[in-house]
Amino acid sequence: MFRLALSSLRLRKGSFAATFLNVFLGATILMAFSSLFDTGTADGVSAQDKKTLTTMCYVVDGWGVLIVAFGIAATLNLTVRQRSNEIALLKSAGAVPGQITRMIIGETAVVTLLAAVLAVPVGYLAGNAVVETLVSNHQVAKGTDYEFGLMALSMGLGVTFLAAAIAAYVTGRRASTVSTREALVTSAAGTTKMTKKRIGFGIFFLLLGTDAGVLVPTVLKDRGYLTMSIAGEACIHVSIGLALLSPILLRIASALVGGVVRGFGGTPAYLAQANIRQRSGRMAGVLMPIILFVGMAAGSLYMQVIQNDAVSSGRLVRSQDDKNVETLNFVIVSTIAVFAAIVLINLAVTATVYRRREFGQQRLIGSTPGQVVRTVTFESVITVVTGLVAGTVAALASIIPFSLALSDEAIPDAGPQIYLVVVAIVVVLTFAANIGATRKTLRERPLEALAAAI
Amino acid sequence: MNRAGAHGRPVAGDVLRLASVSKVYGTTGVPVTALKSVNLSLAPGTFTAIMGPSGSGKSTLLHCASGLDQPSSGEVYIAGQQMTFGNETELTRFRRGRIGFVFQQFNLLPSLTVRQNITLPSRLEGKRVDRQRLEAVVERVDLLHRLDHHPAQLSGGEQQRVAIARALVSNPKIIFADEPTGALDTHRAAEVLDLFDQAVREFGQTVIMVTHDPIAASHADLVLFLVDGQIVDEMARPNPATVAEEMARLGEEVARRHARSES
Ligand SMILES: Nc1ncnc2c1ncn2[C@@H]1O[C@H](COP(=O)(O)OP(=O)(O)O)[C@@H](O)[C@H]1O
Ligand SMILES: [Mg+2]
Repeated sequence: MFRLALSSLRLRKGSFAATFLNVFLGATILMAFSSLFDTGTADGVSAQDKKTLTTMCYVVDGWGVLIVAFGIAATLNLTVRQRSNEIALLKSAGAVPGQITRMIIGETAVVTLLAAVLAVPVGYLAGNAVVETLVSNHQVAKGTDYEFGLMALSMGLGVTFLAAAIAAYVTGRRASTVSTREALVTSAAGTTKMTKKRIGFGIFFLLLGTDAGVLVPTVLKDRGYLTMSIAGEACIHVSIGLALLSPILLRIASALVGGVVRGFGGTPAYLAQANIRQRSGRMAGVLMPIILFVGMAAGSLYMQVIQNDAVSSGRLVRSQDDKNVETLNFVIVSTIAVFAAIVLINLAVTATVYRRREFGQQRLIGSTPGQVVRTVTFESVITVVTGLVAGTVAALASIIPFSLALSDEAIPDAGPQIYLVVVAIVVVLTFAANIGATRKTLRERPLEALAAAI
Repeated sequence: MNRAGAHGRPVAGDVLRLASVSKVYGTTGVPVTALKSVNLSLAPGTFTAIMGPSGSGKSTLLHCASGLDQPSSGEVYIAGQQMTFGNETELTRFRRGRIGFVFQQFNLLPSLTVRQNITLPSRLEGKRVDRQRLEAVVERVDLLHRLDHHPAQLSGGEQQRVAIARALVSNPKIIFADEPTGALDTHRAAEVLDLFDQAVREFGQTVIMVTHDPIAASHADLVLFLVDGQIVDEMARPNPATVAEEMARLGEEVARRHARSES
C-alpha cells in the first residue's frame, strides 16, 4: 500500500501540491507564532513582555489551529472526492476498505511530513521577523532574544500532523466505506447529501456565535480586551457555522439569483445553475475561505476602527494593552487573510482543473470555449455572492455587538472603504483563480482533455 | 478503390468528402501516422460502416472527418463547405447543426438530466428546442420515463440511447458514431442499430459508424475496411458472413505484413 501511495503521489502532483501548500503555510504560521511563547518564557524576559508575547501566541494559535485544520480538511476532502473513481476501481479490483484508508493516510503522511519539515526554517524566520517588529514598535524590550523551541516545534509539527491525520482518517474512511457502485455513481453525478451531523454542527456554531454576540454589548460591556476578543469569537463561530452549512446556502442562492442570471445569461447560466444544484457540496469548498476571509478581515478591521473612534472621542482610555491588541489584530487579520486567500486560490484551481474532462465533453457536444468560460463565470458569480453575503453576516456578528458595546450604535460610522476593499479582493481572487484555471484547461484540444483526464 | 459510396451520384451532392486527409500524431518522439492520404465521399442519406483492426485509424478518421481533431494535411468538406480548423469557436459553430457525434463513452454531462442533456446542443446553438421532434426522438429511443433522471442513474444501454437521442434531436446532416454498440449487449445493440437505420431511412440523415461487429456492419449500405490508416477495401450490401470473412482475411494479411516488417 505504501508503494501504491508513492506512485499515486507522483501521478497526482497537482492535487498534492495543494495539500502541500496548505500544510506548509499552516505549519509556518503556527511555528512562527508559537515561537513567541518560547521567546516570552525564556529567562530574563520581563513580566509585561512575557504577557505581550504569550497572549499573541495564544490568540493566533487558537485561530490558526482551527483554520489550518479546516484548510487541510477541505483540500484533502476535495482531492479524495476527485479520486472517488480511482478508489471505486481499486475496490472493484479487490482492495478492502482498510487498504484504501491506509493508502490515503500514507499519501497524506508523506506530503504532510515533507511540508511540515520544510516549514521549520521558514517558520523560524517569520517568528524572528514578528519579534523584531514588536521590538521596533517598542512593544517588547530591546535586546529580547528570539527563541525557537519546544512550543514552536510541537505546535507547528504536532498540530499539522494531528489535523492531517484526523482529516485523512475521516475522508479515507468515508471514501472506503461507500459501496463500489455508489462510489462510481456519486463520482459521476457528484452529488453528496449533507450529513445530519454537519448540519447539527453548523447550527451549533451559529448559536455559539449568537451567544457571544449577545454577551458583548450586555454582560461584557466595558471589559476592555475581553469585549473585543469575544466579539471576534462571535465572528469566528458564525463563519464556521455558515461554512458548514454552505452547500445549503449555495443551493438557496442558486435558486434565488438563478432566475435573474438565466434571464440574461442564456445557456451558460443555465448550465452553471444545473452544476451548482447537482454539486453544491463540491462547489461549496471555496466558500469556506471566502466566508472566513470576509468575516475575519472586515470584522477585525471595523472593530479596530470602532475602538479607535471610541478612544479619539474620549469614550475610552487607551492603554498599552490596547496598543498591543491593535498590533495583534493586524497581525492576525493579515496572517489569516493571506492563508485564507491561498486556500481559496488553491481550492478554486484544483477544483477547476479537475473539471477538464467535463469541459472537454461540453466542447465536444457543441460548446464554444467562450461558453465554457461563461459557464464558469456564472458559477463564480453565484458562489462569490453567496460567500460575500455569508461573510458579511459573519463580520456583522462581531461588528454590531462591539459597536453597541462601545458607542450604543449598531452600525459604526466608519465608511464603506474597508468593506469594499475586502470585497474587491475576494472577487478578484475567485474570478482570477476560476477563470484562469478554466482558460488553462481550454488550451488543450477537447479530445486531449478527455484522454488525459481519466 | 478509395472513392467510396458515391454510387454514381454527382460529387457536388456529397454530404461528406475527405480529400487526401492524413494524420500524424506526436510532434515529439516517434511520429505515428494514423491516416495516410484518405479520400472518401459519402452521399446524403447513406449508412456507412467502418471496420478494421484496432489501431488502424478508425477513431482518428471519425475525429478528423467530424472536426473534433485537425488533420495534419488534406481537406474535409461537409455538404460542399470546407471545414476550417483555425479557431475552435468558428469550428464549433460550423459543426453545429451539421454534425452529431455518438461516442463510445457516451460523454453525457453528469450534472444534467436526460432531458437537459438531449436538448443541450440546441440550447448551446441558441435555437429553440423543437418539442415535437424531441418527443418523437425520445419516444423512439424509449426514454420517456427516464427524462428527469441523471446519467449516473442509467444503465450503459440507456446512456447510449441518450447520447443517440442527443445527436438526433438537433437534426444534423451527418451522425458519426464510434463503436456505439461496443458497450452494449446484443439486444440493446440491435435497438441502437434500428435507430440509425431509421435516422437514415426516415429522416434522410447520413450515418457513419465505426464497429467491430459484423452484424452491426451488415446494417450499413456500405462497409469500408481500414488497415494501417488506409482504406483498403469496400463492400456494398454487406451481410454478416461476408463481412466476417473479409475481416479474418485482413487480419491474416496484417499479421503477415507485420511479421515481414519485423524480420
Ligand atoms: N492522441 C494520440 N497520440 C498519439 N498516437 C495516437 C493518438 N491517438 C491515436 N494514436 C495512434 O494512432 C493510431 C490509430 O489510432 P485510432 O484511430 O485510435 O485507431 P482505432 O480507432 O482504429 O483503434 C494508433 O496507432 C494509435 O496508437
Ligand atoms: Mg477507436
